[in-house]
Formats: sequence, C-alpha cells, structure tokens
Amino acid sequence: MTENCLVRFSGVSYTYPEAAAPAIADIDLKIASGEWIAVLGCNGSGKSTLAKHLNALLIPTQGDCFVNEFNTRGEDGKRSARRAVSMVFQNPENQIIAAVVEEDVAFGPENLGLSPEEIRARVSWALDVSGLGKMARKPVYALSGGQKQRLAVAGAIAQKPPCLVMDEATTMLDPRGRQDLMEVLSTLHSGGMTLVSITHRLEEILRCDRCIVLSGGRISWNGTPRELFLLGEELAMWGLEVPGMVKVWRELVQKGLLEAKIPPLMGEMVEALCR
Amino acid sequence: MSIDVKGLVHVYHPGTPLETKALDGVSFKAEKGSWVAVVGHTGSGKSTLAQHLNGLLLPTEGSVSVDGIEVRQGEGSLRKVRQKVGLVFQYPEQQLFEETVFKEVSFGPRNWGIPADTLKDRVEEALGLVGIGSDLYEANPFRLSGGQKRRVAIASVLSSGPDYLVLDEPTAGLDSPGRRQLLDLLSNLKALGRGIIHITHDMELALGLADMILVLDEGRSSLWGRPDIILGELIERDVRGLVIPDMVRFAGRLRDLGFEVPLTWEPPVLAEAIYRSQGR
Ligand SMILES: Nc1ncnc2c1ncn2[C@@H]1O[C@H](COP(=O)(O)OP(=O)(O)OP(=O)(O)O)[C@@H](O)[C@H]1O
Ligand SMILES: Nc1ncnc2c1ncn2[C@@H]1O[C@H](COP(=O)(O)OP(=O)(O)O)[C@@H](O)[C@H]1O
Ligand SMILES: [Mg+2]
Ligand SMILES: [Mg+2]
Repeated sequence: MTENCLVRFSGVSYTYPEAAAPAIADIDLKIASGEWIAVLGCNGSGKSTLAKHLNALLIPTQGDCFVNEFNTRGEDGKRSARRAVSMVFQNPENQIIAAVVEEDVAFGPENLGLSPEEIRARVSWALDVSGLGKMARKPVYALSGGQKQRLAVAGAIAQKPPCLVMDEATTMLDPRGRQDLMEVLSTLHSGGMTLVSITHRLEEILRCDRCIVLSGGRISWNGTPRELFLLGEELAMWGLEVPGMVKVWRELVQKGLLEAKIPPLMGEMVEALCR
Repeated sequence: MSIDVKGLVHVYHPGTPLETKALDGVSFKAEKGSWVAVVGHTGSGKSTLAQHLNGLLLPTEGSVSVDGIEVRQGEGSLRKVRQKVGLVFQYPEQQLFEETVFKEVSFGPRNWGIPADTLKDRVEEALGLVGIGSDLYEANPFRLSGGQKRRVAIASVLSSGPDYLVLDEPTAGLDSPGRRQLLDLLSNLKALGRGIIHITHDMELALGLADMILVLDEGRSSLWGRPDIILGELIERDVRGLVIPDMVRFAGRLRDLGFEVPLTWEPPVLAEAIYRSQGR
C-alpha cells in the first residue's frame, strides 16, 4: 500500500491561531494514488481545513502529513505537496491571479516550466473542457459568478496535477455545466488522476471510490457511496441528505418492490421494476 | 405591492470593445407575499438582474419599480428602494466587510436608524434565524467556514427587515440542515407577506417552492410561468444550461413503459405511485 500511497495523514490536528478548539483532530487517513475520494460533512466540520493540508497550505499543529512520503513540514515536503496537488477553492476570487482569462489559465503551466507550445495546448484544452472556449480574451472582472468558478477549475486542471482537490467548486455551475464537469472529472480519473471532491450534493459522489464523513473535525465514517446511502439515522446526524432518486430507491426497497442489491441508478431501477 | 420589471436592458461598458448586453428586454413582476425563482445558464444575466432590483445597477433601457417607486437617480429613490429590497450576493465575500459578525449584522439596521435599544434584539434574532450562535458573534467574518459566511451574509440582510428579499444562489455552500432551515425561513417570510426573489440552479427547488419561475437565456426572459407550465416546457424543448430533474426523467421513462405515475419531483409521491401502479 505504501508505494502507491499519495497522501498520508498520521494523527493530524490543526488549531487556527487564537482558536479555542482544533478545527480538525486526530485525523488518520490514506489516499491511494488514482483514488477518487469524497469528503463530506456539515458546515464547519473541517473539510476545507483538512483539504488545505494536502498541498501544504496548512501544516499540522500536531501529527504529520505526508505527500508522496515527504513530510509537509520540510521544504522538500512542501515542494512535493505543491507540485502534486492542485486545489480549487470554494471562492474562485481567492485564486484568480491574472487579469485576462487565458493568462490566468497559463499561469500554472508556465510555473511548471513547460514549452510555449505545450502551454498553449494546455490552456486551450483546459478552457475548452471548462466551457470557457469563447472567453479566452475576456478580462476576469467581466465574468459572471459561474464563469469565475469555471475559470478556477480550468486553471487547476491545466497543470494536469497528479491530484486535484475540488473544495465545493461546483456550487455555482448550472445543471448542464455540472454534468459536463462530472464527465471531465471521470475522464481525468480514468487517466489516473487522484481526485478529492468536497461537496454537499451527494449526487456528485456516485462515481467516487470512497467517501469519508467529518463531524466536529474528526472522521466519523469511511466507506463506499453505496454503503453510505444505506445508512439510517447517522445520515441526518451528520447533516447529509441523499439525492431524490436515492430516496425513491429506499422507499421502493422498504415497500419490497426492489431488492436492496439493485443500485440506486435510473437504468438499473427501471430494468428491475419491469421484470 | 410589487416589483415591476419592464423591458429591462443592461449593457456593461457601452461603447468599448468589452460592450456586453447582459440583459435584453426582461419583463416580469414579483409580488409581495409570493416567491419568484429565477433560473438560467451560467452568464444568462441573473446576478445582473438581481442588482437592478435594489438599484445597485441602473437600467440602460426599460424600467424597474418597487411599490410604484421607479429605481433611478434623484429624489431619494435609491435610498427608499434599498430599504425595501435586500440583496444577498452570490458570494458572501462580496458583501461582508465588518470586523466582527455582530457588527456585520448590525450595519443595516443601524444605517436605517433603528434605535439602539432594539438593535441588539434584531441582530440576535437574525443570527438565530440562520443558526449562528452567540459563540461566533465576536468572530471575524472572513475567518469563518464557507457555509458560516453564507449564513452571516443572509442574516445581515434579514436584520434590516426588508419587504423584498433577493437572494442570489443562497443555498450554495450550505449543508443540508442549513439549506432546509433557510428554505423554511423563506417560506415563513413569504407567509408573512414578504416577497422572495430566489436565484437558483436547483430546478427541483424552483419547481417545488416557487409561485412563478423566470427562465433567463442570454439575457432574455425566455420563459415566465407557473412551475407546472415551466416543467412542461422543459420536457418539450431544450433550454440552454438546464436539465430536467432526474426524478422527472425517471418518472417519464416509467410512463413510457406503461406505469401510471405523475411527472413529479417529490420522492415519496413518486415511490407511492410506482407502488400502486405496480400493484395492479
Ligand atoms: N462587470 C461586468 N463587466 C462586463 N461584463 C459583465 C460584468 N458582469 C457580468 N458580465 C457579463 O454579463 C453577462 C451576465 O452576467 P451575470 O453575472 O448577470 O450572469 P449570471 O446569470 O448571474 O451567471 P452565473 O450563473 O454564472 O452567476 C455575462 O456574459 C457576463 O460575462
Ligand atoms: N482562517 C480561520 N481562522 C480561524 N478559524 C477558522 C478559519 N477557517 C476556518 N475556521 C474554523 O475552523 C472550523 C472548520 O472550518 P472549515 O475547515 O472551513 O469547515 P468546512 O470546510 O467543513 O465548512 C470552523 O469552526 C471554522 O469557523
Ligand atoms: Mg469549506
Ligand atoms: Mg450570478
């Protein structure tokens, strides 16, 4: 396991300066290379704080965080973490750097020291898959809220990082844009990229390999999305709400119309009901 | 009593290479005591529209009026309109500026001259309504988690007690209890006679809660009607950026296969209908 372990948290706690209590506490977590993991939990449960340890934006106040087996406390570790992990933040304003869309997307690839042709190719690919193809020359201040969020995503994927962390980065996308982005993420995942999705919308975790639930800064649960959907009162306790389709699925299972082994997916449910 | 938008056009940076017509002849009416949902693709003009409703932007053409007061420069129109219409921005960071949560939420009522002895109650009530406890009153709003910031931004508009609330994607970033709490709160405010104008990408929410839905497409009001009518239109034709809710698609497929189920977006209703239909 260790050789393909991209991120390893060992007893990590983090307390913000002047804060009374830790925002995350006693986190032990391994993320394998190529895994797609979802981080769930209420507002303030510590999701963003945990995420910021992955690229050494925060260093544990207790315990250690390793990226590619480098401790993020050391200079090597910080460098390794920043190269391996790209973050898309909750608020795109916090990470848009340049004044013009395409320049902003080029910023990451330029920092990687790629050739001008490669930079151009990456920028145009990233803008395209993010649905900003026609806006390359637009100034950033003239973008709508959702367009800014798309730009933040484009900037991160243009770096083709080994690991991409999306911290509630789809909140402002229209439904079609959200679907398109899920496709893009799936493709990147198939290509071997490690993905960490932080979201309140559980329909977005259907394709994840594994999810963890944070509550009060601690990991309360760890398992597959399907296992999560089968839980009872715990879900409400953690402030999680399953998607509408999953609710229908659960009711049909309870009424004895569907077997629990049929997954809560539209195609499978229709097929089972017609049998 | 209503907000009346007629033939509203908004052009950003007119006469420059950046000229953008963000709104192109939008008309609709948001009455007191009703809930209007505004939906549409990324960049369709929703936030631009929102900023017209309380006079942060002024029409390039057309008009906006609030309870008969036209939104324009002069004669104190903007001050009156801003007291009537509260706007919660798309990103809380666009709105927050004070050093503490308490000061942030006091700003509005203080600005409108609410006497000091009732100010504290108002602020505490507003923060209570969004689930922010007294432990965070002295916190710096910029150091809160994303969802906590969103709650404070909403409270800072509620505390002024506006007649109309314009909320630009207010559920984004809220956890599920927070989202329910907010929606219940908005329903209560509506029942108390306030007008709710709710910008959202969540079609199920719009269909389930709104009295009227406005669909924007490239700055034009492409659809305006009751939720059932809008749903019918969505099923009939492709609307840029929007998708038919999963559950409605599911119900549609079952209908095609002979199940007698309604096109609903309510899980228990659909489950029950499938059960009955299957039983026959
Ligand atoms: N300050 C500005 N200067 C120039 N153009 C702008 C400005 N703000 C918005 N626009 C443009 O106006 C159009 C409408 O933008 P608006 O922010 O109203 O969209 P929106 O419907 O709120 O989108 P989203 O769902 O992404 O928030 C878009 O084409 C956008 O690029
Ligand atoms: N910059 C900061 N300074 C102090 N406290 C913070 C800061 N950012 C977050 N917190 C606090 O840490 C806790 C966890 O926050 P966060 O990780 O942002 O939660 P989540 O992302 O799950 O909503 C919350 O109690 C929040 O108020
Ligand atoms: Mg967060
Ligand atoms: Mg907007």
